[in-house]
Amino acid sequence: MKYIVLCFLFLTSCATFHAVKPDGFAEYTDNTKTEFRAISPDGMLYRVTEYEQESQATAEFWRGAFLLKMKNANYKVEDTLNIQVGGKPSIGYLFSYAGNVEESLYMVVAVPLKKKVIVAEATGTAEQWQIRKSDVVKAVSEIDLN
Amino acid sequence: MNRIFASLLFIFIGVFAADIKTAVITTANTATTADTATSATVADIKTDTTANPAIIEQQFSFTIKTSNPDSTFAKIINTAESKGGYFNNYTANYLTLRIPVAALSDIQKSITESGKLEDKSFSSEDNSAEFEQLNFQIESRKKLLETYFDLVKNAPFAELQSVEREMTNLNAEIERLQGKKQAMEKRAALAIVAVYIYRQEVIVPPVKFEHSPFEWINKTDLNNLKGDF
Repeated sequence: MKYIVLCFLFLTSCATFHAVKPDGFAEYTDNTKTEFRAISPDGMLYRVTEYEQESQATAEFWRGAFLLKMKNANYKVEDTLNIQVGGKPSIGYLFSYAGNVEESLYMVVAVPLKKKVIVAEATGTAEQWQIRKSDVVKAVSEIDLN
Repeated sequence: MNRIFASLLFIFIGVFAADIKTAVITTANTATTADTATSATVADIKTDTTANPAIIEQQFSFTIKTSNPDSTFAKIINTAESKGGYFNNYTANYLTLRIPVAALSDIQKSITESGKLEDKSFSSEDNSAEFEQLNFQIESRKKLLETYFDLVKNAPFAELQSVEREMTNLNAEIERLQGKKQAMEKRAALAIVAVYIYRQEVIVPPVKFEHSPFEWINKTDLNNLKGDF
């Protein structure tokens, strides 16, 4: 009985994802099983977060719901990103924000799973994004989904 | 001894009379002309490159509106430095540059393309007459110095010290006048460009924000991401 409980606890404590930092970034030391953060020397931010999501829906549903909220929150789609994460298709976009005078770009790549959603985000200026885009996209594609 | 002093006195009177004559004859246009014209361009400024070049100090002023003053200033400073200029005053909303006259049209283009041009003005000060006068003064003192050199060769020992003292003073005066002349030339070669910047606020249309029933969609937000670091 003790061993069954221990196995159950072990399985439920496993992280859904394992993320790596993009090349040139530094990983935060207080990352948790559900949140991974890294930062570049010039201030570009990278985060991977796991959210509980009980509702089940198709990828197209999530795409529509996500884009509607971003449009209403005054984000503008600058680019569509087609990235496979752990062999699964993702919902990926690069946004700019009308209210941001620092001209930051905001990347979001979401992977809906059975009862969770893994969301990878990054933000930086247009110049930083041009320099570090390939490293960030590579890191997103290398997220390991357990 | 009396003959030497008489010679010196005669030479002094001759040299400084020439100075006074040039000061009277040369009528300098040294008044500052402030001309605020919205259509004034750098191309309107013509520099006389003949034997007696005009020594004109030029000053330009631009007021622009931009959404990012720091980035705009950085671009303008980069352009200035790439053309051999430099900045000598920099605050949150104000920048002054010294730009080679030949690069003025490039820097004007850089400034007007960096934001919305609200105002511009131009002023100049013609120091040609004063420059010419300096040239005359330097030449006359150099001639006097040559005369002293000749006198030194034949001067009695008792007079040598006073002649050498006069030569030293004269040298110092020539150097002072040459320094003044070089400063004037430098001020004419590098125009002053002042840039005033006002931050242009981004007008965001009112947004109808819909709260999504899904937590991950609600939390996917740039401010949330930045706040987490």
